[in-house]
Amino acid sequence: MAFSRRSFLLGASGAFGLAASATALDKFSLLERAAQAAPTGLTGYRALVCVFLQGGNDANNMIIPIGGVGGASYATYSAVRTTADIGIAQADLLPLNPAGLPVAPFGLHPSMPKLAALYNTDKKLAFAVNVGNIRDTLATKTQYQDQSENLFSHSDQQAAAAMGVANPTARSVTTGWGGRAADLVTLNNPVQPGPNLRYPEVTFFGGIPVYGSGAATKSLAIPDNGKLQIDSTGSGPLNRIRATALASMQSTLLDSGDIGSAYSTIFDGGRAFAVARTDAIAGVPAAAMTIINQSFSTVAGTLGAQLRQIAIDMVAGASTETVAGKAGLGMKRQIFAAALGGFDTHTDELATHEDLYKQLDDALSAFHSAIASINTAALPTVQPILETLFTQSDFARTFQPNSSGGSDHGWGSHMMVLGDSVVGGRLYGTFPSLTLGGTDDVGEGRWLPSTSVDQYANTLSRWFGITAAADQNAMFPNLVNFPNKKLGFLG
Amino acid sequence: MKRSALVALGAIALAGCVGNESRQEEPTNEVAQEVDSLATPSQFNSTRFLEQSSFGPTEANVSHVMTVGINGGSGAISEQFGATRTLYDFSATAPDLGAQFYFNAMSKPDQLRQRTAFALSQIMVVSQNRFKNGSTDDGRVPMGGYLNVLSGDAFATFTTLLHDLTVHIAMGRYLDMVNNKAFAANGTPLSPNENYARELLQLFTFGLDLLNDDGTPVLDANSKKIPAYTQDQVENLSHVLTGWTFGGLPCPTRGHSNPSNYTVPMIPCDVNHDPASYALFNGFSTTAGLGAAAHLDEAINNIVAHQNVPPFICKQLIQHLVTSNPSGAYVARVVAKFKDDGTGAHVRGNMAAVVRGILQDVEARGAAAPVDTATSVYGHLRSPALLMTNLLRWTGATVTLSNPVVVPPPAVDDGAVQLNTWGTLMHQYVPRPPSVFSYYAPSTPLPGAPGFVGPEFGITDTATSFARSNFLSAALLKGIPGITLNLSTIPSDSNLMADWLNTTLMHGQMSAELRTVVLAAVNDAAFTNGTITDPNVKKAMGLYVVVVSREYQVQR
Repeated sequence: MAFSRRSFLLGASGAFGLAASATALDKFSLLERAAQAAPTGLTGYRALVCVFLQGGNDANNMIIPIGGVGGASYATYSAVRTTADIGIAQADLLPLNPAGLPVAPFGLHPSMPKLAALYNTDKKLAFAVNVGNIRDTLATKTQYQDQSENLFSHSDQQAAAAMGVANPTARSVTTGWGGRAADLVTLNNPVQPGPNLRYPEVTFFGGIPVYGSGAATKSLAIPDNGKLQIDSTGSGPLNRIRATALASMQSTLLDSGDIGSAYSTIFDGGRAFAVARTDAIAGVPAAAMTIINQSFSTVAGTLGAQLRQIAIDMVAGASTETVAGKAGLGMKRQIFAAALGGFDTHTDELATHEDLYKQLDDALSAFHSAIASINTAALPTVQPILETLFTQSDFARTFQPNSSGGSDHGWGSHMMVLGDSVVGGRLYGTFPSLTLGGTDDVGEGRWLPSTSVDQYANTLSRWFGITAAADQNAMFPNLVNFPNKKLGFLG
Repeated sequence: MKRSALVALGAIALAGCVGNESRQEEPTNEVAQEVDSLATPSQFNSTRFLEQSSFGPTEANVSHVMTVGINGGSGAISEQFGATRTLYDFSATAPDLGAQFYFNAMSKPDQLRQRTAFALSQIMVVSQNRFKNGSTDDGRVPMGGYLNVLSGDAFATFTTLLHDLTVHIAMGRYLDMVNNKAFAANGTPLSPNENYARELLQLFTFGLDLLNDDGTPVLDANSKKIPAYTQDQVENLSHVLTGWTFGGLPCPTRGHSNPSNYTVPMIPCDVNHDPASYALFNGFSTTAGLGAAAHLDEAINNIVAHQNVPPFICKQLIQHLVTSNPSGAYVARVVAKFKDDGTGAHVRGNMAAVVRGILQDVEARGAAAPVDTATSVYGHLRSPALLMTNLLRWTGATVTLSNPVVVPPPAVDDGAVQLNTWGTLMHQYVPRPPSVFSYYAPSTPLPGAPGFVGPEFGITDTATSFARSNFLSAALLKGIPGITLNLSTIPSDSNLMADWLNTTLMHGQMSAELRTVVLAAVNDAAFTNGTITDPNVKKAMGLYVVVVSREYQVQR
């Protein structure tokens, strides 16, 4: 079967339209995935954790300039946003002291003190600034509309961010960049003895579903309560008859191309791995569980709940064996997806941000602390965990406030990257001018991104193990348009 | 008497019934389909009609449709147009609106109106979630009122529907048209809130791309899609929509807003409205000097006249009621009904004519789904709500709902409340979609079938597929308090049971493979050796195997 890696990776038309390959590739992981994966021989355990800020994070109020570095200053900010509308007072900002820059040229939103400490003191947090969905470096104000498909539309810009390409239709991309990364690394992960298949690389708790969908990869989505399981009927005989019927249907009714088989592929795929996951989680060492529960004991809200469960799944994935003597998942590479919604702040922005940014502050710092403590504990059955948590969002928002205490759909935004591998305490990229009508404003303070989603995502997936230029260019078809392929926040 | 015929989809002028004159022998786009009269529909055709036009068939309703027919003044569609309308109760002691939704779906007569309103509620989206914070009101009043607008206007004109939902306070609050002022108190012009202007165009009327009448995008000389509107037009429309605030009081002074009042529609206040002329669509500009109400009318008329509205709305209604991937010809036939309802008045946007056109179309009707390569993906994955109500209506279930609500609440939730809890686990928490993009997007790709969409797959993953199967298991094999099944008409004999399941739930389309699995389950020794003696448990197992199968998960 001849198809180029590129068309295979992007899961678009061309070779993927062949009936035979489409059938074989799309059977979740029931059939061995056919990825001609590179690289092989990846060592250690690494995980990416995507936290998608749904609705469009107005990062204009998350990082605010103070000291005039690169043109923007607090005076530039307060010329447009004041405390009479959606502005944050300078005195309330938490100083950020980027390495190599004067003291406090920027300030962080006052609801993020723990993240400020992770940035200034621990230097495990970095920001990539003015990142967005653009396709090349030719972006200018006058021809900005060609840079991304359906600018300012939530659904399209979410999908572009999750796919890692500003113009997915023109580039025939239908898969997410997390899924494509998983396609490439899958052969580094072990075959699970139960289903005799590789456990899905992507575990999905929330966000943009396409993110974890590759040409062969399908993500394993977990319910909010963390339990992916078939409930008991309360009757042994009925449980047995039901299990037999489900197994019979799986083996006799598989075909392809229609809606029913698309459905059963998902359901049967989940059933293939639910028991392996439940067993592995049951075997997470008590010491690790104690650390996780303590770290999250005071964390409220949905993101905290997701990241707590991700920490548990991560330990189960990194475990080579468990306390019960059962095999752990023994993974080498995993990807997790979580989300926090509510960022579409057309109104009530100040109060909404106070709540959401506090949730981010609590949940992200608890997660980082939990994994760091588990590594420090050096549990014999758990591989040392290297994880990098990062944010994405639909877009930023208009720097110009609207008439109802909020802001409208914008473009380039600031992203957070957190983890032991992160070269933190720095801002990466070029901060927007914050000047309405300036060279980077395409209208009402919608910033033309200075860094593309390709550069940002490639920096992350490169750290994950995808280092060959050919693989990177296959994953991110616009990457060739950007001379700088990595942003430096992961070395 | 049924005849087999090859019917070319593009060739049917939509009329009462499909006759010989419609037969074409074109080599492409053919659909092998039973020709089955709208006036005297077969059992399976009637069953399929009820899957598309109600919250699920019952044996009695199938018989009734076979008797009265589908079309004509005394047919099932006309009957449903005239059925007594069910209203949501949003008084202080009324039960949760989502529970009312399930209770109504299970037991009320105006099935087509409520099913259409449910579809509309997933296009013109308001979520009760928006009202849960910062107010003593949990949103029941605005949300219940909004759902009543949708059912009230489900068969009105699209212009009426769009106007009524635009000025309703639930939408006003949800997408920030309320208190959207053009001026500060000192008269300084402000940047209007663009939220409603954008989503009104992107999600309620135009969509992103310029459309042909068959629902496909118009392509330019370079085969590229053409945006249906520009950012400038969004901003212009946001100016046109300024000036509205909460009702119940006279208008405030310039730069101010009235206090919250969710019991009455918004009111237009010209002191906060931008009276200037703004360019909208197809060369139209609003008239300078008019007030907020008159400018809204101008804008709505200009929007409804746009070429995108008929295909954008008709295709989504087809997707909700009948099939995720309608042929372009099907969309175009319904669009023709939208553009002109065929009466002497030539009404545009007559929603009753649109709904009738969708359900009477040759691509919807017949004893079985049309079969050809292009329609191997015919039908749609049952949404969580429809999966639950279809099973429960077939099984004669009664679902409890206390109205007024009991204080203190009972230890176990009412059956209707439990259904909404189950739906939430399947990511359809009625009426609380997570965003204005609803529970799932109409453009969601169908996994494994490039080029086709499967909207309901937007909320279908391993987690929700387990929830679907766990619900079916709970409802049938374990029991859900407050939900009582009546399986008395289902035969106990295994083969007869399989026959019944085939002719009812599967309307004759059960595969031989599925029948084998059903028989293996109900012939298990546990049912014959005295381990399980209740015949209803055996019937429930037979039902479970059918409804959990991939064949039943799809409405075809």
